[in-house]
Amino acid sequence: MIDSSNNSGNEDDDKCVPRAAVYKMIKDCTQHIRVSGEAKEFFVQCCNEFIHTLALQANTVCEQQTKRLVHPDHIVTALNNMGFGSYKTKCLNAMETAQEEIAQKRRKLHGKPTSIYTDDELRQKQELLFQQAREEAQQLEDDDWARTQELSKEALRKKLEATRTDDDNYDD
Amino acid sequence: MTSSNDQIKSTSIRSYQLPLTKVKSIIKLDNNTRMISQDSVYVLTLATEEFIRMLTRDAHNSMKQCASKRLDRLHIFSSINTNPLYEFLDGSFD
Repeated sequence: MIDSSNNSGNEDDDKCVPRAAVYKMIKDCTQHIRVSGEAKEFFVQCCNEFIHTLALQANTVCEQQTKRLVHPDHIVTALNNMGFGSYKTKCLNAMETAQEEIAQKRRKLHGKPTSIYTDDELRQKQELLFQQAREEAQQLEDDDWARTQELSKEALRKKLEATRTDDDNYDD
Repeated sequence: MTSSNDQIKSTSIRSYQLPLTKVKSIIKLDNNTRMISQDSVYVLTLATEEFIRMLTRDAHNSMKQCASKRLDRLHIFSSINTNPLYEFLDGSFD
């Protein structure tokens, strides 16, 4: 929240609400009505002006309450002062809804890790994985045992060969 | 520090259409403004959107009164001059 306001003059265009967003809102209200380009531009300018004025008013309210941080209540008071008190309900309701959603998400995040499976399903899957691991370990053991057997047989065979060679070779 | 801005942005009910960061940078243009909470930026953004809708409706009414087929700048001007609520806009434009 450090103030990093840019004083460069030709950045004014950047410090403007996005035109597309404004056009969309106007379109939602007017639907089949054609709106001139100049009118659209003018809406954007009014929008900027509103933000400036409301922010300034809220700032004043904040100062008067000797607070250092502008709070939503200051915005609401400023709206009242400007005559836009009717916005209060809608704004506050929307903010409450958003805050509730955020709280819900936070609860989910800090709670159990989310999963598309139920606890039982997860347990079953785990058991299946354990079973697979057991089978694989058994298989490895069996393979190992078989190889050891092979090697022993081979060793025995060679030994027999060695003893036979001395006696039998002269027959061929 | 958690970015409550990101959290607000990710709420599934997309209840706002103007980008919060843009609105905040516009607010910051005034050197006198003190620090503003993200919730405040959010509320301010919502108020601005409501304002646009209101001004559009009024301008639309102006247009109907003139029996025009197209909403023009003049119709917005007319609303501004008629409704005292829009007084703060007076003198801001040529």
